[in-house]
Amino acid sequence: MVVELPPDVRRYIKDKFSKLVNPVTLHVFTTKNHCLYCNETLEIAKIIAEFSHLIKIEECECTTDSQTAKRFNIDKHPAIVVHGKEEYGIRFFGIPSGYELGSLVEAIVDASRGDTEIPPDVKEIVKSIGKKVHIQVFVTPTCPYCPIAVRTAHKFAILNRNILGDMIEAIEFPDLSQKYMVMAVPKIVINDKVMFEGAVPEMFFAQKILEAIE
Amino acid sequence: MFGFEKHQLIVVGGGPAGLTAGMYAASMKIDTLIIEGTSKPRLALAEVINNYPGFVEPISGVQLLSRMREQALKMGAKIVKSDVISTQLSSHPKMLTTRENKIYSADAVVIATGLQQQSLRIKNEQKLTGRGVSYCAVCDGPLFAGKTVALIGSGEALIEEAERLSGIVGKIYVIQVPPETVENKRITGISEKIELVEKARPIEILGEEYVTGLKISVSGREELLDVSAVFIATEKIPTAKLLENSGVRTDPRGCIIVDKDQKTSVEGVYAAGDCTCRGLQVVTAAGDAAVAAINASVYIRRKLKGVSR
Repeated sequence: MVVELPPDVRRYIKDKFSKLVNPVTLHVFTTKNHCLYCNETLEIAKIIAEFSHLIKIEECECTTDSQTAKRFNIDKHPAIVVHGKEEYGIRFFGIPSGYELGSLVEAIVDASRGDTEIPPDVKEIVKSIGKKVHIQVFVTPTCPYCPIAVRTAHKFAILNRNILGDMIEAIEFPDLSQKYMVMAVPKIVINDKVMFEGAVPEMFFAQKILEAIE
Repeated sequence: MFGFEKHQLIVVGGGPAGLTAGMYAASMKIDTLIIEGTSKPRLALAEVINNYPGFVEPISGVQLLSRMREQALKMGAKIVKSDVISTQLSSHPKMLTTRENKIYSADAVVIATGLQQQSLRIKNEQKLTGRGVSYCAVCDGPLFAGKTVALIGSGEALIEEAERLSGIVGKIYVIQVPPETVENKRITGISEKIELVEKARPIEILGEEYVTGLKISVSGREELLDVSAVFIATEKIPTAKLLENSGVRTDPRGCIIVDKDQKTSVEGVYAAGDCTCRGLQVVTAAGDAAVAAINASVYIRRKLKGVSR
């Protein structure tokens, strides 16, 4: 697969990245072993990084038992972890293509700013969470509704370092999709305990996290 | 979230009509709030828009929406994401309640709620939604790559979804409900993967936790289709349920009736876009929304001065 960005997408990214403040590092994890879209994921990260001198790439071509992969808790490939003003739990598993390219671009902007736009009452709830939360958002690249759920998970990860927000491309990880019975996207799984489908409002999403950590 | 907020104008809907109405009203210095629903507008599903004036290069629906949203915000409109679940539009001020129990009041309202997919009310359709019953082939189709699925629906929506699915799944049983809304050969001509089941009626979607099959009646005889998913592609209907008992008149299809000024049957309530079933194009939605916003703004200013309609 050749990764090419149409002119209007390039303009969109350029415009978005004019808002970057702090440096952002994309930690890209690839492997040579049975990885369908590792090369393309790395290529997307490199193309994105060309848009701003504030974005750099740290590539780790490594297995999941390597020291670096363990530090980032990477258990599958390909993966991108977005670190900006702080080391946030913003992660993409599988290729962030199609509609998810926008999720990656927006996550980079938020990570660089160290803040995100979210209603104040939701912000208050998310910031107050004191337990570890793992959000997995299953998507397909052709799903126009999915980025809303991915963005919410990543916004929450910006606000609270206890939160890990993962985008998971459902087709690339069939075992996981089967484990969580992903038959519609976006499907959200929180701490393996609470599951729901759909692009729901941020407050509803936050309430589901509270339900999961009860 | 409980609360109360007051604005001069509230626009319900975040599609091209809602965003245009919000943008126009805000540009006329009207305090405007757009309540965009939690479901993505129909325009978000359009891969390419190549007939919107001024865009020589094609633009995707998502990008066009994003620009419209940005423009509305730039003009001063405020936007919240929530679903309006009830309205009181006949009184003054007009009141709208969202799913989070927040109450919004306004001097005038523009309804731009678009269209939604119509449920077929097949037995178990609701129970198995998200468990193999899907209303979005472009979203969920890839999850059933290579598998056998059923596609039930009518009209151009059925054709579009059949085209999308034929590139992904292994086999598609197509059932027209109601029958013969499009010529059979248009359906079978899409792909060899399609098996059109004529004179069929879906009876029950089978499965406890997820879809395992579809029971149909073919010329009065029951048959079982071994399918992993059931995709539903009906014609879209206006999202006008929230207008029940509001006094806003709709036609038998549920389309909101408006005059040339986009006024509805209730004073101070305007409507534009697909929920009026006029045009069903992005450009007509935007045009009608501009007319609605201008007239709503005039109405609000007259109301401020104490002049009646």
